[in-house]
Amino acid sequence: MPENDNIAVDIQNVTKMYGSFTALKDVNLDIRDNEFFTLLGPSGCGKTTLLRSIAGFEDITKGAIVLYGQNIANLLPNQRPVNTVFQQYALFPHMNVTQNVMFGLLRLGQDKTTAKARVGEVLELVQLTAFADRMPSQLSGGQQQRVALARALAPSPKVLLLDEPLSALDLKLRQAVRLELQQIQQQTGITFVFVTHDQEEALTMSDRIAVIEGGHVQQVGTAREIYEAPKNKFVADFIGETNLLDVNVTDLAGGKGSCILPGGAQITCPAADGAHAGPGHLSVRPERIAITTAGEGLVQGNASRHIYLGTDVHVEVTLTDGEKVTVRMQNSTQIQIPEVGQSVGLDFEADAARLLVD
Amino acid sequence: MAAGPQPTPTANTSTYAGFGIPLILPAWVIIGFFLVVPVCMMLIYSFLTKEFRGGVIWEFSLAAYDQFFFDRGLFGDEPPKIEWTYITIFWRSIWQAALATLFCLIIGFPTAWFIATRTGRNRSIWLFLITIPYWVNLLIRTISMKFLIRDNGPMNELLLSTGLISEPIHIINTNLAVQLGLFYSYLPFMVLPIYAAVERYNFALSEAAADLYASRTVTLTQIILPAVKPGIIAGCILVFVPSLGAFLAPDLLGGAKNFMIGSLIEEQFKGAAGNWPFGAAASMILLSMVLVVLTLYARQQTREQG
Repeated sequence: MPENDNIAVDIQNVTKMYGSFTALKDVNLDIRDNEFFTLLGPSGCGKTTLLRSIAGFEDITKGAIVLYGQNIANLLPNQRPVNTVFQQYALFPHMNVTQNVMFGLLRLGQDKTTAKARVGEVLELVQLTAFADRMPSQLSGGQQQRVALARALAPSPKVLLLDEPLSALDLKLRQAVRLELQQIQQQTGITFVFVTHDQEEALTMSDRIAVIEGGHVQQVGTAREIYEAPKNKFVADFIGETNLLDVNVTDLAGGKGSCILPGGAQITCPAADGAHAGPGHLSVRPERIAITTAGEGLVQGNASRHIYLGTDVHVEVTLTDGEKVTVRMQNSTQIQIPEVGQSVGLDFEADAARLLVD
Repeated sequence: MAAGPQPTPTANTSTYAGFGIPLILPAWVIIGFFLVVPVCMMLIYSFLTKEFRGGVIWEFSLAAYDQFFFDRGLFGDEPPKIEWTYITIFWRSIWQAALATLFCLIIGFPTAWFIATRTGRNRSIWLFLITIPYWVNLLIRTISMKFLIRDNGPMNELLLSTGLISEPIHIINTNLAVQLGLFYSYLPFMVLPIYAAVERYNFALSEAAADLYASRTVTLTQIILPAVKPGIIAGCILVFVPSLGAFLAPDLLGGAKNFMIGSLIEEQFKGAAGNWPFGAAASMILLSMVLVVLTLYARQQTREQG
């Protein structure tokens, strides 16, 4: 992981309005040099708008986008030293692979010989040397995706923008390309800004992630930080799966909070900044809950459903107050999965739970 | 659901294969009878002898083609010289049709681009507006244009009243008037195919080009134009070919000096002065020229896609 405090892209108070609709509300982000940075959020959250604003395809309403010290917010797309890998690749259909990759180099004024050599380099990087003379229509989806990547890498941009580049690939291919993208990012040392709605993609590839919802940045952090210490209900729910228990917060001090669980038990656990006393939500991940015999543990309920997932089984437990809690259990002969209808107790460590901001 | 890959229905899937022939048969019969037969008749007529009051005598003769290309003097007994009259008319027609095509392209491309980049309902309205003049007969529209551009017609009166000109502009009975007529008649044939091509254009390609440091001009010439080229070529063919054979605009707007092929051919089949074999021969020469151009284009297309 790069330990570098140089800022590659500094997004300052960026607001984007479409008529009266606000797509981005006062967004502030520091994307560091050499970083694999991911903008993660559900569709329509503003992540693509933010990426397109960096590329120059959208004019921002307010704010500044500073690239290595230079405000580029008012430059045309062709004046910005960034390149984009488009969601549907947008390869030039009438040009072959070499011509596609060479396009940007020639626009930058490179002579044909230099450009050709560079095309050879990047095609080798994406393992497409054998396809240099093919037309885009003669390539598979995965190969087109690599051409798009090669084309964007060829001019050696300071920052590479990737707009959901894996979404059109099938699952197996997507997993392979993830690893490759990460390797290429480390090899080239180019700052990657990656947009996705797929949390698994974000968690596995990124140095840091910005979770975006409703045009707001909800949380910025490493995969571990946003998964294990989500700030609010949205982040906890969107990243991975979680159980949100209705609790009554009684006391908050020093990053910890005490609360009363459904059923009356009381625990003291980590609390997010901004959590407040009164009715609130406690997040507990399904894999951090253990099933015990009825009467033991922190909360009580009835196993109400099994969801079979292959390596794991999700057991849905209905608590006495009607709330549903999901428990993830390994599908193994050593582990006894409670029958549907059986009364059970649920237990978890206080440190595995987290009080959230609503 | 973990379903395997579905078989894609294709034209030769057995369920549909049987229907093809009976369904297409009426179209083939009509096209064969009303399109191919008349052309064959013209071809045959062009090799027959003329009958003085119109019509033909069924006797083989090359006289029509000879008359087109060679001048053998008033009594036909002099050594043959090249006859320039008809070649000049053909040349003028090609030139006029090419110019009309160019003007239609210059005006039609931005128009098509504008319409194709409107959203939903607006787009339909603009398309509808383009087709409105076609609800009025072409003859009527051409006569209206004649009225409009006369020396003392509304256009000149308007220009005179604004003081932009002090003398009426003389357009009627010039090549320019023919040009205006052709341009006006065939503009939508340029707009519609280009519109269809631009509508299918993936605007992400323009963004990709800009992202790769292309200026607007480079994006237009190297990305957009190649992508919409099929539409442009279709538009050019649809304007050029009918302009070449047009007779209404040259007849009504061009006067006697600005004769085009269409008028020449029309005259051969009208009234006592007519010469059917000669008209048929001129048609055949026109047809073969068009076929040569289209064949060259088709060959180039197959080579590009090859």
